[in-house]
Amino acid sequence: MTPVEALQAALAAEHAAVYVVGVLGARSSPSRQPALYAALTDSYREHRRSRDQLSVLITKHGAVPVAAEVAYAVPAGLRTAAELSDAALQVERRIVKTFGQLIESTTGADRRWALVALNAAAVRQVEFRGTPEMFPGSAT
Amino acid sequence: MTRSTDEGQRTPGRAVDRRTLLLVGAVGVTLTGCSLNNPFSTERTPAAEAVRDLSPDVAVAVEAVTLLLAAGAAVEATTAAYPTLDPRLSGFAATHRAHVAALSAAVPDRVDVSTDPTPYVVPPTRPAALAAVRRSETSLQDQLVGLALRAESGPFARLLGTMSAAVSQQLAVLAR
Repeated sequence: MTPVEALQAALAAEHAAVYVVGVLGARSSPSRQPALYAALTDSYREHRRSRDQLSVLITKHGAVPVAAEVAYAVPAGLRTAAELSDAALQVERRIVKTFGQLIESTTGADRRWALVALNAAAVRQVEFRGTPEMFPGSAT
Repeated sequence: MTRSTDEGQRTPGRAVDRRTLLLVGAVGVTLTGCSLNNPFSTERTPAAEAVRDLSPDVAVAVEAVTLLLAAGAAVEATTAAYPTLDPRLSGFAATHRAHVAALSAAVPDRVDVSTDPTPYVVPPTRPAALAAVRRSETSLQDQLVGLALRAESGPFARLLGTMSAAVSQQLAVLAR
């Protein structure tokens, strides 16, 4: 995978994450689930920031950033805090793998960005009740 | 930089193994019969100079193992001094062990990765000891990021990046 292909894949994943996490935030309650709501809000902000930064990085390579889809599939259910948290965890797990690929396919400033993004996403996994892993972001 | 599709199926440890065959093979002859220090030694002996000429990613692997062993020693000394901290720090210890195991194949047998002979000094109170481990692990995480940036092999950079992320996760758990 070329650096631009990996950046585009990460951007596509961030487009999906922004959409799905936005839906999850809309279905959570700041009064009944304050911790979850705060975590989803933080996650939404970080995914939007990553999306925008990836667009800039891709543009610097002379490519056109991939556009978002009109809509993305959202998991069924999503009524309880546990279901919302689990759905958010799945989003972060996918993003972590995408950033792992980005590290592998890039060098220099792009790789540095990917390393910071991987660390942030790995920590969000834990915030969404994920179990710490030995190699978060590995291909397997 | 490109990667073949089969690389995506490899485990981290196997990723190192295949790369290592090439890297270690290239330097193996140089390393035989000598008692060697780390590649960052300033010694001017032929052996020390040979190690400094190791392929770049082997040197990165050696440095990573050295850092992991030092961090592991700090955790071990802390839990020995304060056994009640063991439940909170055991995740770090297990993570370091897994990471050293994944990297061990990349380190030539005769390269000394022993840590600073000065034993880790555990702070005199439990909160201070915990804070010291937190600082040690934060430093390790940062240094693994630096090593991932130096790595020439993409898959090896990814492996180091995942190690850094694993330490970040443990730090997040510790902060709970």
